[in-house]
Amino acid sequence: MKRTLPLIITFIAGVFVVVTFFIPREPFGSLEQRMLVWYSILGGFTLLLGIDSLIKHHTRKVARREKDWFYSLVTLFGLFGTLAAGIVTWAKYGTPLELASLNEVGGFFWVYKWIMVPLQGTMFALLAFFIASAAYRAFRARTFDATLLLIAAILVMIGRLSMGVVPATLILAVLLVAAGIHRLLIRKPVFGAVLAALGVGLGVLVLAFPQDAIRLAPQVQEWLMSVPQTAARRGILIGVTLGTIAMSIRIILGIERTYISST
Amino acid sequence: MNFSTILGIWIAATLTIAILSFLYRDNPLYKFAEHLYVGVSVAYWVIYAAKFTMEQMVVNVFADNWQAFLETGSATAFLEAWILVIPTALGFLMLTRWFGPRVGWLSRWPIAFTIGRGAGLGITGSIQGILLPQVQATFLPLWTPDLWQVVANLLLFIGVISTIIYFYFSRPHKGLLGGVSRVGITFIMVSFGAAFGYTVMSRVSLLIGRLYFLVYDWIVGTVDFFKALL
Repeated sequence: MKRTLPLIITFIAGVFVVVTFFIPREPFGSLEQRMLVWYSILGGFTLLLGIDSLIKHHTRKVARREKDWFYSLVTLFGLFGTLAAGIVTWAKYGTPLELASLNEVGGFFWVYKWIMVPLQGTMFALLAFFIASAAYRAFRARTFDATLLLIAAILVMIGRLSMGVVPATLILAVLLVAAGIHRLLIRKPVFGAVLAALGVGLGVLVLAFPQDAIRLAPQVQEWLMSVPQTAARRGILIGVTLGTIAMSIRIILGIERTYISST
Repeated sequence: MNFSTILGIWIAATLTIAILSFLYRDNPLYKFAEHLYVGVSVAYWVIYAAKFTMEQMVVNVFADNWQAFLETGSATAFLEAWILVIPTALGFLMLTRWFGPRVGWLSRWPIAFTIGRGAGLGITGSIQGILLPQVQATFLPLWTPDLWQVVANLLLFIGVISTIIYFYFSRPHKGLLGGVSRVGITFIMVSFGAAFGYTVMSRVSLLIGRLYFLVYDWIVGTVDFFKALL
């Protein structure tokens, strides 16, 4: 009952989705859509489990005056304050926010607009700095592969610039020459010479034809994104999909059953 | 600009600076903003789910169908209303985890349903939505009037095949397999680099957006607000 019934439910639900896919006629056609709705409803209930866990964790910290308990209080204040704003707005206007037009409706939208959006946007913007420091460590052109990564990244960045394409390309050229000299010094003459020649060539071309560089930079970026980037991404995606199919078959047949051992 | 808006701008500006203060080092201001963000965003999604999932998919559908059944006596409407008991019951079973392992095992049923549906979609959805379209998009014509397009199509094909072969670990990467996987890693590196550059630029544009907000909405907006008051 505790282990067999969940396996049977998984089997029936999985086979059901596969069968409805091959029978597009009613009532099977609409059943797939219905299961999607049920899935969303279940998602709503699981959110309650998450919020319960969050409240328990932070109230425990506050009650025991653990380290940084004040910040737990801030989380609880944010949580209950926003919930209260949502409930009050909902009761007053019949909806917490007008999704269709995102019109300003009540205090809940105010919290969303002036607290959640700025916090979220700045948090992601902060990653620009950390991603740059990670790039410094990762892109030191130690190997051929790391050099490719570096060049592709910088070319895409230059291609998406709205101004300053020429100086940015010159910086790339100087970086390549510097990396090439460094390779030459640590007894990798061929690789070093290729890098340095690439850098010198790029620098000369940009200085000789600055207008062409400005015109070509977005096209190079576009080509990199649509050909090599798409090719590798597609290869990985196809591999992941094949893995997903294999794992799905294992789950439906009850070979993979780790999901019922965690409860 | 009213008082509510200027108050919102000041709060948003303070929180933006609080988050950016992490660039100096971890500090109480950043921790305050970070913890506030967790609380606010969780509450936002709870209200969102309550409105757009629970109300619209359960309460409203039940009420409409029940009303239709009362008015017309339609068996379909009756069934449409009461079939919602199944996902709702499964949802409540999910909450049995609150009451410990004695009844908590009942939560396996909704989990099993979710996993089973996901696995089913993992077969049909993946084949129809990802695998076949991606394979179809890879086999492009290699004979077109545009030579540049021929090169691009050929590179795309070689890139996809060599990337897949790079992730084939059942045999050692030697000989032909080693050569092809070497080409694959080259494509993967260019791809990761390009994706990285793209991500950096999107983050930078977000940063520009926040700085623009600080300069124009906060500083200029506040000056304008007080000018209007005076």
